[in-house]
Parts: sequence; structure tokens; C-alpha cells
Amino acid sequence: MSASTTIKNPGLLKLDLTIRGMKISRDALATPEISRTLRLSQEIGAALELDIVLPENVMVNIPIRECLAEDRPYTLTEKDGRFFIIGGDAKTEVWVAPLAGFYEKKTSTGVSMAKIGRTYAGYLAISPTPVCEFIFQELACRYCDLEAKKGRAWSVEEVVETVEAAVAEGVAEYICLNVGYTDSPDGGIALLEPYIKAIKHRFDLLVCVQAQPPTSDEWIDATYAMGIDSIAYNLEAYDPDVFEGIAPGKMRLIGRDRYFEALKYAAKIFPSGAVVSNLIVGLESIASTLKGIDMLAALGVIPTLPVYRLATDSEETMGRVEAMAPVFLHLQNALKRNKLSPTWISHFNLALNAIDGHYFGGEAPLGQRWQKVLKSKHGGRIAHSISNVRRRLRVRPADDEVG
Amino acid sequence: MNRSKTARVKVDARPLSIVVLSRSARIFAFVAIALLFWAIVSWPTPKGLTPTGQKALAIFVVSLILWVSQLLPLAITSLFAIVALPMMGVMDKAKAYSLFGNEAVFFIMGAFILAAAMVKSGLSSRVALFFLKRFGGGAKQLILGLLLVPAFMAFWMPEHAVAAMLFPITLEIIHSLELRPGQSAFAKSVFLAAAYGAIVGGVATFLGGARNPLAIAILRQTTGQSIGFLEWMVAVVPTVLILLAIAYFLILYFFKSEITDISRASAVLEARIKELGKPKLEERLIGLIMLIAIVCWITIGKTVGLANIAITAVVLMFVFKLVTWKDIEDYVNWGVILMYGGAIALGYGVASTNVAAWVAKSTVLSWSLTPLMLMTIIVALSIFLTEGISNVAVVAILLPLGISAAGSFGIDPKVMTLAVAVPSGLAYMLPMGTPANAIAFSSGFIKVKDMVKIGFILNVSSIIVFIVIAKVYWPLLGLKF
Repeated sequence: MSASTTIKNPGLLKLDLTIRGMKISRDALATPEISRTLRLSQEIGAALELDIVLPENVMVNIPIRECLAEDRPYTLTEKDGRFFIIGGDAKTEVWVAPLAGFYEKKTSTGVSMAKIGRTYAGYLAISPTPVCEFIFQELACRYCDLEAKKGRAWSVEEVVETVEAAVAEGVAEYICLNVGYTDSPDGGIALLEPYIKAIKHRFDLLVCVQAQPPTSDEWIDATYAMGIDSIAYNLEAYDPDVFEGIAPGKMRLIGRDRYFEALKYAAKIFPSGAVVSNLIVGLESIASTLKGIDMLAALGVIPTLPVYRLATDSEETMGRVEAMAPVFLHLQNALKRNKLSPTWISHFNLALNAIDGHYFGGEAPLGQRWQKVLKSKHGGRIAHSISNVRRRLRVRPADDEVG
Repeated sequence: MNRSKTARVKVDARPLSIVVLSRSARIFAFVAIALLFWAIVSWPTPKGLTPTGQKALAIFVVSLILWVSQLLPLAITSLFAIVALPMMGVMDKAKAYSLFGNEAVFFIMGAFILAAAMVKSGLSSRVALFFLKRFGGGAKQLILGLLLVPAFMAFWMPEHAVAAMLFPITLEIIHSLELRPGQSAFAKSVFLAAAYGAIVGGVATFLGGARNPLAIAILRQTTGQSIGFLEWMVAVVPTVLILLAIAYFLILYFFKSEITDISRASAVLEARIKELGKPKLEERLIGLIMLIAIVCWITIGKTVGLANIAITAVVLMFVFKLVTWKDIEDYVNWGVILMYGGAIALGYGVASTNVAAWVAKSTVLSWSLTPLMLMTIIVALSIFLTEGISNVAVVAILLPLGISAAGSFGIDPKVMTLAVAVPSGLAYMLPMGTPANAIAFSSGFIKVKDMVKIGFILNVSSIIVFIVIAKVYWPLLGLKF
């Protein structure tokens, strides 16, 4: 499928941009939005991302460093203060979201807040601690970003200050915490508990967590009780061989079956649609990804589908946009079949998800009305309150009789 | 971070509608109780009952439901009773609150503080080990020791404190013998013996369970009569001895020991004694004060007052700096003390407004029972009710009614007091019946069905023994029915 064709469909464009990336023209590079992103990336020594809003408010997120390569099918240009993406002989107007202001701020301990938290169109992602047993045992996941964050853990106060700054700026509607694996029954979630408690104590925000499954389901109960609103145990690939290849630590120290068990149990504990798992599209055969989607959806889990980004446009991959597009339609149908709403994961714009399914031939986006409510100021508060009431009703001391 | 720092929780994953309903059950229950209260108060006053009595009846019924259901902590229900009595005009508020200052309440508080001192100083453990060591000859002897030692100790301190103090020792004995849960009959007999010993011993004096002084307080408030420390012991100890013997043979019969050599258990006891070292000065002094208090309770308790002796002993312990207030604060169950104040006030309210007499007349008095039948019913009710609800609640509910009925049947109110108070302390069947059972059950070696099986036979045996003793032995003491 040519770039001039995909550019007409925001979903296809998002997918193709994610897979193949784009370059930035000289005039666009000179704009304050992009030059600031580049400068700050150099200052903090890590790649920041550009949040680009495509037509119909479709968000796409592209690491700035990847935009510096020449070998890309799309170009971001700027004319008279307006941005365009050009592909082949077609172009479409887009909006480049300005970099969050809090990235330029520092915590009271002098740490750049851009190092602590990254915002992606409404959600703030934080990895409070670089601890991960996989890295320690040289079994790190292939696309792990924790490994790059060698250094100390951020203190609870540093994290809270960053969240406060992001909230004050209006760029954090959700908080997404990421934690590595620890060789303990909780699998690492206990490390997050003080951060979660502090965030929940100070702010009316929904908190989602990406972690590894604990060894016992008792810890999944504890995870929910801590105040976490949505949990992700990321499988990354359904095919066992691919799974082991990209996540050897997950395979050897936790086991693929435990992922399914934990996801199934978590789906009973968390609200419907609040348990998610990544399947990276493009790493394994499309047929295998489809099987994975069906399996996860049948367990009550929402699959989110990050797309494997090509390092160069000539790199071989399992599929290009033509092959991948049906995956998102399949995802939408699988969720419908299992009566799962993707409302809770509408903020995961890094990945394509069922919300985008209608761009690939599906019906109207699922849960669109609820997404609008959730994104509104009062809607967010209402969602937070409903989530808290649900937790108050369901969580009981372990020695309480249920039933 | 370890698991202990994270609260142990579970998530109720049933459909939300069911969770909401089950969580709302409590609210519905309170609304229903409030409606019942309103219905009793607004119903046309029945014959034989005054409007004030009707209000007292409403408070009694609501308190009874709350004590039995434990929708509120026992102490809070008692506070409700104290407040409701003057608010509904059943009695003057000064009177209601003054009943909280009853001698029994202070006796219970003193007894708790003395027990706390014994436990904190290690004196109670030393006494237990000293006697237990003498029963180390064989498996059967050890079981006998584990029955008799806590029984004797529960004469002088609350049975739950005895059970809690002995538990680590029994656990260590079982571990030294390498016995496994679910497989060892001997382990079951060890834990049951310790629990039943404490339970049975706890009814022998006023010190073993605070329900006994509560019963005396209700007796005094409603009839002006009382039972002395020694008088109680003389009446109850034979029952205790017979029940201990029955418990011993039942334990041996149901749980035939698979081991004969208990030398390792004896070694554990020996090691624990060595660990304690020589008795410390504070232990000796606490022991001396306790001994003097016991002698005083027996000899001059009636004239000086049980509470006065208890509180004086407590003051002496603080004079000699044998305990600190922090020790006492941590140990004393202040909630139980509040509970007793309310129960006494309610008992008085129910008696002074003739509610108890009216209830008795409407129920047992209309059934053409003989005194023996009435006694048997009361004893059986008390013993089976206490399996499910607090023994204090049993006394608070049954005794005012029992005393009222006793007069019409020619039963000495003292006999009725013993018939309610003693069986209310004898819960053998269920882990929740009494703390001693719960502690034994927590070992993991005993199953509920073990307890129910032997406990039911002990319940029935206790009813029979109690009635026979009351009929045959008590008349010799001047207690007739």
C-alpha cells in the first residue's frame, strides 16, 4: 500500500507511521515545538517523543531520534505555522502537540522531571525504580527501556512532585507506573506500593500499572487493593518460541502459563476491560497474533497491540500495513464477541487498540461515548470515584468470610 | 517489602449487585432493628406491663439482638443500653451511669490488671512449667497435666490468658515430637486438653471469667443477695473436678495416642524452665501479692469487698513498680469492662420495670414446668447459647429472666445465678465459642469436626453433672431448688 493511499485514512496512517516512521523537514525542525524536543532530548540524554495528532483526533507517537533518518516514506513539514505530513504525492494537515512544560522543571532534589515522567497525550508514564531481576540475571527483555535507566530509584517525593507538575499543567489524566521483576512472591508490585499510595492520597487520578505476574493470586488481590485501576501483564508475543526469544526472563523465571493464569484471575478482580496485555504486532506471524488476541479476549483481557517499529524502511518484518491492518479489525471483533469494552485503555495511544478498529473496516469505535466522558474534567473525577467505590465494596480483609 | 507490610486482603469477585446487597445487609439489619424497636414501643401496652416496662423491653430486645448478632461490638451495645435507658425514661440518667460504677466492674478491672502483671513478669509461665514438669512420665500423664495445670491456673486468672500463655509451650512440645497436622491424634489431645482445662477451670472462681462477677452484680442489683468468693468455689469446684475427669477420659477415648515416648517433650519443658532462670524479685513480689489477695478474697471478701481487695493489690503492684501502665494498657480488654457496665444497667432496668417478670410469666411460667425442668432448660440454653455468642451476653440476657422466674418456682436466686453463669463458661464445641478453643484450633492440628464430636458429648455431660450436683450436693450448702 503506497504512502499516498494510507495518508487518506488516519488509522492506516497511524499504523504506517508507527511501523515505518517519518522524517522531519528542515523547516519543521526549526519550529519551536520540534527544536525544543530535540534540545531537551540532548539535555536529558534520552529520546523524547513527538505526539502528533492526525485527522479525526487520532494520536500517534514517534521517537524524535527516528525522525532524523532519511530512509522514511513520510515527511513532516511546516508552512506558515501549520504542520503537514506528506506521503508520495498526498499530504494531510496534522497538529504537533507542544512538549509538556514540566519537562523543563526540576524536582526539589534537582532531578529533571523529564527523566522521571513522560506524558503521552493524557497519560503520564513513570518507572520509579530500575530494579529488574531479568536484567540482573542477563535475561532482559529485548525492548526493555528499564535497562537504559540504570541508576537510582526515584523517591516517592520526586515522583509525587512530577505528577503534581504534570497535573497542574493538565497533561496527566492517568498515571501509568511501570515496574521490573523482582524475585519475590509479589513479582515486584510491592515496590510500587508507596508510590501508588502517595499518588492516590494526593490526586484524583486513575493509576494503571505494567508489571509481571506475581507467584500467587493473593498478590493480585493486594495489587487491586493498593489502588491500582488497571493492570497490564505484558505477554508481548503469543508464539512460545518468539515469547522466549524476546522475553527470556519472562519465560524462564515466570513461565508463559503463569501469564495466562494471572491474567485470567486479574480479569475477575479488576473492572471489565481494565486488564490488558501487549502483543507486539510484527514480531510473530499474523496468524499467531490473531490466536493470541482470541485467547486473551476469551480470558477477559484486552489485548493492546504495539507495532514493531522498523529500524530502516528496508528491514524485513512479518508484515507491513497491508498484512497488519486486518489484525485491528480482528481485535475489535474479538472484544465485541467477548463483551469487553476498551474504555479503560483508551489512553494507550502508543499501541493501536480496538478503538482504532473502525479505520480498518470495522464498525464505529467501541466505547466512544465513555471515552469522551472519561477525557472530560468532571468525567475523570467521576471515573475515579466510581473506581474507588468499587474497590471499597469489593476489597475485604483476608479473614473476612465472603459469601 | 515483605507481605507483612501489605495488608492481607481478598477481593470479592462475585457480581457487583450481590456484593452491594451483601454489603448493604448490615444497613438493612439496622433499619429492621430500628423498626422493631419502634414497633415494640408503639404497640398497645400488654397486660401486666407498664408503658415504662414496654420501653425497657424494647431496649432489652434490641440489645439482645445486637449482642447475639454482634452487628456492633459488645461494648458498644452496652453503651447503647446505658444511653437508651435514661433517654427512653426507663430510669434516671444519674442512676443509669452510677450502675456503671458497680463493684463488679472494678473487680473485673482489678482481676485483669493482676493477670497482666503475672503474664508480663513471666510468673504465670513459671507456675505452668513447674506443674507441667511433674506430669512428664508418659503420654497419658502429659495429657492429664495439660488438663489440670491450665484448669488450676484458670482458678486465679482469666481462662483466655491461661490458654494464650500455654499455647507456645504446647506448640513447642508438639514440634519437639515432630508431629504433623492431620495425622497425629496425640497432638489433638494435647491442644484440646489445654483448651478444655482452661475452660472448665475458668468457672471455678470469680477470677477465671469475668462473667461470674457480672452474674453476682446482676444478682445483687435485682435481689440484694450475693455469693461470696469461697461460697462460689465450694459450690462449683466439685462440678469442675468431675468435668475434668470426664474430659480426660473422653480425650483419651477419642484420640488414642500414637506415641509413648515423650522424653523430648520433657526436655522441652526442662529447657523452658532453664531459660526462665531463677525467679526474679518482681515475680516473687507479684506472686506474694497475688497470694495475699486470694487469701483475702476467700476469708474477708464478703466484708471488705472483692473489688476493694483487687484494686488494693493493683495499687501495691504499682507502689513496688512491678508493672507499668503501658503493660496494663496493652493487656486489659477495656471493651469488656464497658460491656459489663451496660449489661448491669440493663439487667437492673429490666428487673426494676418488671419486664423480666412479665417475660417469665409469658413464657416459662405458662408452660407448667417443674423446678427441675426449668433448671434443666436454663442450664441447657446457657451452655448451647454460649457456643455461638459471648458468655457475657448469655449472662446479660438469661440471668434477669432466670432470676425473675426463679421466685415463682421457689428456686433460690443464687442457684439460678449459678445455673446461668457456670454453664455459660462451658463452650467446648466450636472454635468461636471461647478464646481458648480458638487458640487450640489455630494450631492447625484440630478440625472443627473433632471439636464438635467431643464438645457435644461434653456439653451434654456438663448439663447432667451440673443438675445432679445442684440437686444432690448444693442442698447441703443451703442452696435449694
